[in-house]
Amino acid sequence: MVSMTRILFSVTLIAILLACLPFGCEKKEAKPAPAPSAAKSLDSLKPVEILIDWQAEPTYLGVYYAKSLGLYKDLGLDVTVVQGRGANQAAAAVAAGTYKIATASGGATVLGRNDGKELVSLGVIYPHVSTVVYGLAKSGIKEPKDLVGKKIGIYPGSITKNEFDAFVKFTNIAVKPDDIVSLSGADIPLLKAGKLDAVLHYSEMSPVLVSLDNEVSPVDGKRVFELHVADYGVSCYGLNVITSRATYQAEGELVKKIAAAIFEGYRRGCADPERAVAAFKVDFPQMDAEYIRQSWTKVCKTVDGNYGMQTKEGWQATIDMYKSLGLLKADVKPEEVMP
Amino acid sequence: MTQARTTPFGSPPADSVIAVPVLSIEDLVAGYSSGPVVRIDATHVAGGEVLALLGRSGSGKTTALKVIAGVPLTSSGQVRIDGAAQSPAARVRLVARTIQSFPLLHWLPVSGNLEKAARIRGVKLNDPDQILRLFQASHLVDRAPHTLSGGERCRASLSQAIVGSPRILLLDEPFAGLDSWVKREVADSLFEFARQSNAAVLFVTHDLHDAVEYSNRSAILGGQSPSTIVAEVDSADAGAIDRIRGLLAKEHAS
Amino acid sequence: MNRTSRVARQILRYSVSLAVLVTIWVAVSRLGNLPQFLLPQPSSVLQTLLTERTIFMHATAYTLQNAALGAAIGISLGLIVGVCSTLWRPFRWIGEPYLIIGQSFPRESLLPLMVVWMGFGLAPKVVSAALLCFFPMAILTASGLQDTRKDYVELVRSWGATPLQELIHCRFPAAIPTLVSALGKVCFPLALIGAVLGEMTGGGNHGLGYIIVTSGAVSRVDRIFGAIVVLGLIGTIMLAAVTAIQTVLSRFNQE
Repeated sequence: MVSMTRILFSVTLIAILLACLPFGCEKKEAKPAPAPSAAKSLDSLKPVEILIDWQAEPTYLGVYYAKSLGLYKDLGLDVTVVQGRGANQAAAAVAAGTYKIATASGGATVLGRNDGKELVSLGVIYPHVSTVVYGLAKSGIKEPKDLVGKKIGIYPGSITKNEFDAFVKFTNIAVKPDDIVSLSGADIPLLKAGKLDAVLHYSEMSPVLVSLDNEVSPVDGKRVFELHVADYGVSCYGLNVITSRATYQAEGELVKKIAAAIFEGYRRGCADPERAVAAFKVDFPQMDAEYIRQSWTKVCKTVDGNYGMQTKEGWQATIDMYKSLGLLKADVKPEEVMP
Repeated sequence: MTQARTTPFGSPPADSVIAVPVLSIEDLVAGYSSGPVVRIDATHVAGGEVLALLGRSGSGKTTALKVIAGVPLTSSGQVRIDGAAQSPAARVRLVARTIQSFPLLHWLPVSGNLEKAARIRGVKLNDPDQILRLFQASHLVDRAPHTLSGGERCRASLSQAIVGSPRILLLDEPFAGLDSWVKREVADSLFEFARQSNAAVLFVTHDLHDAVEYSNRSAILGGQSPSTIVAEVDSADAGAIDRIRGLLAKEHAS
Repeated sequence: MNRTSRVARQILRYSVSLAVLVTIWVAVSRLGNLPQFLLPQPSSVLQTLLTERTIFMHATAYTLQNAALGAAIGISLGLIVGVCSTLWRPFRWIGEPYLIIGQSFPRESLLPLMVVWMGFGLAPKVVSAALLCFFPMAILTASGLQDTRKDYVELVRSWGATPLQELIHCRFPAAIPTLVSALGKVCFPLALIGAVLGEMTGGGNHGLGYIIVTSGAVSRVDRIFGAIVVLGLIGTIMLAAVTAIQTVLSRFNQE
């Protein structure tokens, strides 16, 4: 009998060594399908990561389209788009310097600044949030007051929760805490199963999915109802591009150019939606083409020609809204979040 | 029925009285944090001699073995080996002690067990078969421990114990559970070992027949906290068994 | 029973269990009148796996790689800590409470904080896998090494073994069955779970966890179940491998 101990020691050692080998393959961070305009060699390009604050959705199509158009490459950059898990977390990651540039929301920017994070907004994509209270059309909900007594699903960590609080305040509806359901997973199955009557989401995401869902019976030709919180006085900046004050001071030109490329991506994508949708489909083949198309249409509607513009007044409105919710302990000034 | 009993090899050689005893104990008191358990005022064991340590349970027999073997206990007094006083740490090298359950490392065959003992003791194992032969265990060399019978475990453990050529071999209840044929063979091997190596052998038992049959001399432990050697009886004496029985009865009564 | 028929029996056993599971699944999803978006048919899941097999294969490789690396780190550190805890009293006295605390709280809750510092690459996934399996490994190693049979320890000490020799020649070999069990039944599965959780809550663009979480957002339940099936298969293979190793070991290890 060979020494069992010796055999096990060597097996363990070999296993550990083998496990360390694939480490080199980290560069597989690139998408499975190659971008259509990848002609130039990537060796001379400087690698940079852009963090989007959620999973890849048509909301961020402009960011990806800029890459398809080669706008980042023209800047000498090899950009990887990293998918995040929430605007507040993205703001924290940028403030910590882990990422140079990210998308977030106006709310996350202001809340982050309030928390002491030195964030700078390089430009706004959504002049208003695309947050909606949506649900199945057959629920009969048409106005905010119809929501009273209904089960409303909200994602607790999301900025949409704050927007809903403002929505409730401005519309003065008597929504009880019992009616609010905390969600952590998929919302659509719960709506379809009747466990929820309404959900806080983004107009270009779940509502589009449901409106394309054949299992849902339409009422008067529509499958969903949507109450845009922006229509009811929730006037704050939505999707924007942020960086940290430190990065802005050290590499201000670089991040400004990347932001400009992103805004250009949105501009050209909204000007030529078919091509933009096709490019996105190449990057994410498992996403439904019609979903991308309809979602992108809504995105462009929300963007409303605002490719990166931001004003002090706009930020003041955002700050005021969060102040009215009692979420700001310090008095944030627009200058603090603008370059 | 009593008759003169002699061991197969006769009494220890007469000149052992003049020679320095292998094991010499003086004023030894040993115990645990709860207090002293056993006291040995003066005892000697000569080279080639087999001593039985007899007493009822709880009489400190195992403690006595442990302290002689150098196990760190609360102890005072002197233990001399070949005339020189040895600290407990030094005694570990010179003394071998078997454990009641005759444990063998179950992931190694008997040969592996012998090698492991040699390795840890820091000695070279030149001829394992020579050791195994002494205990009629040569045929067990490649066996896995779980396949051994009680008697075979005993033999294998004894072989393992003497790997480092100890000056003193201590055995804790070695004859428990063995049939008389095996006991006889093991006892003869112990005498042979003691004679060949001029070593001292001590074994603990609670069975007075085993004590008298398989030793040159019996030391009876009695009393409490600490127990002491109340008497030593030469196994060759006629009436040894009766005498020991009487002493043990007195112990039970008290 | 010879080796071939024993292996055949094991394969039969797993196949039967699988067949029973699939039957129940089909029955529930058809007879229970469950909508497709809650429990898809096994056939649609299989079809998705086949159509998107490249994506699933890449994702599986990514997740497995992170799980393996995390496991290697967590297990090695766990072994080291377990050994130190056995050899040095003060280390055990101070360290054991930390191990218990660390094992008792949901370590994946630290993920959202970790990604702020480590980014959304593979670091948080590897750390997540390592964190999940380090604590049980340390605790099981310590107890496995410390619970050695008293008579074995006494035997080895009677040969004058130092505490280190006692560990190497007695405690460790005796603990190998416990350690293998800990590895295969606790640590490897936890490392896999850690890697997947890292992808689900820790962001990033790849992995089976990524598939699960993105498919949820676009209501592709068949992809979710596809990922679950793949994970289940990995778990089963791991367990079968560990059981096989244990069987081999037991030949050398009968008490």
